Amino acid sequence: MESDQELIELANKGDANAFDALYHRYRDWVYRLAWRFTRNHQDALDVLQETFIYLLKKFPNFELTASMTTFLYPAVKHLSFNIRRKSRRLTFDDQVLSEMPAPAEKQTSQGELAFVLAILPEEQREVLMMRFVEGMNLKEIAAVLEAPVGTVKSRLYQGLQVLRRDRRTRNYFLE
Amino acid sequence: MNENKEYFDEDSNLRVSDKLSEDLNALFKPASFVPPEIDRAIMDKARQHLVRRSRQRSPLRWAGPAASAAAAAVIIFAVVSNTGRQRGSAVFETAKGPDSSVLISDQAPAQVEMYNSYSVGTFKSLKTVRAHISVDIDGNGRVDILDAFKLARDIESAEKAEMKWDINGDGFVNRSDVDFVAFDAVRLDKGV
Repeated sequence: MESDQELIELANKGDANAFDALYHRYRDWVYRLAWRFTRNHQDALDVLQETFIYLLKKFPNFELTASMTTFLYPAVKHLSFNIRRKSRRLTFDDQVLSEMPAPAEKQTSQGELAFVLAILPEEQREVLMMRFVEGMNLKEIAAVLEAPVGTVKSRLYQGLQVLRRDRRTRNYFLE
Repeated sequence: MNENKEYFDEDSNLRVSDKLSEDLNALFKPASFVPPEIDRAIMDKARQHLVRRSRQRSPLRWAGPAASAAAAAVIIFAVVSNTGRQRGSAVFETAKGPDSSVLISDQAPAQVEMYNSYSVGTFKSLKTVRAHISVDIDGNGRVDILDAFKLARDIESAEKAEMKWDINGDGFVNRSDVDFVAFDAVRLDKGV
């Protein structure tokens, strides 16, 4: 299987199949991230399309200097905020509460987790999501946020401390 | 990713349980998936964009090999011509004859020397000349390196060459005319 770099080189030469491979490799990741920012299926689809059109316009002279996720993350975030602003939707904090599925018996812990996440400062919550939902490492997160690794680590630590101390989520940290 | 996790998990305060990780992913997992129409729309745009860009790049892509071919033609012609000169053959220069054709002659050594040095001035007039004279030597409807080859062969083999192939208008049908054809065949703005 070709690396991202190899696919980009092929796409730079006009190979549409290479772009197709890149698209399918990152489509779900982009959609999931967009959905997380917008909390709306249709908006997430719009962001998905705009993100890949943005990527497409980089060709034929695209040079990837970091990972693809590091490159795509700011684009998805920016486009999501734009779409959310246009559609005058509720902010993430409000929506994470209002659109959260009603917790079923076995999902109680998830509902409580969502509640605690919602009261976290945005910057801490974002770092938690990037690390544990998007699977990004410290360096990637730092690159995306244009912040020092120490700052990222600090935000992550503070966010986890809130979860660790809150009675609704402390069970996650018990051995 | 294992490497990343190891790096990350150096600090136990930054670790989370599998249960927390699973619940986070479950919470933020989208309820819907990307419909195939979206895939098709994006890929259609990609094909249009990449094919268009690829076409725009194509003249440059062929410029290198074409220039090499032209250079090769010039070198081959120069080698063949020099060989002929050493044998005392009358193949280098031509002079206007009374019937508007060109008589092949070896009476113009200065012209040969000027040509061998690839004087910049020799090629400066290319565009002007090209504007007035068709260099489709083989008459196949396009100007390419085959025209240069044909003209070179004609000059070398014939006792008379048609004056219409005096491409640069210097009164001679010689290698500089072949050069003009070769350079015309590989110019970057061709067909624009």
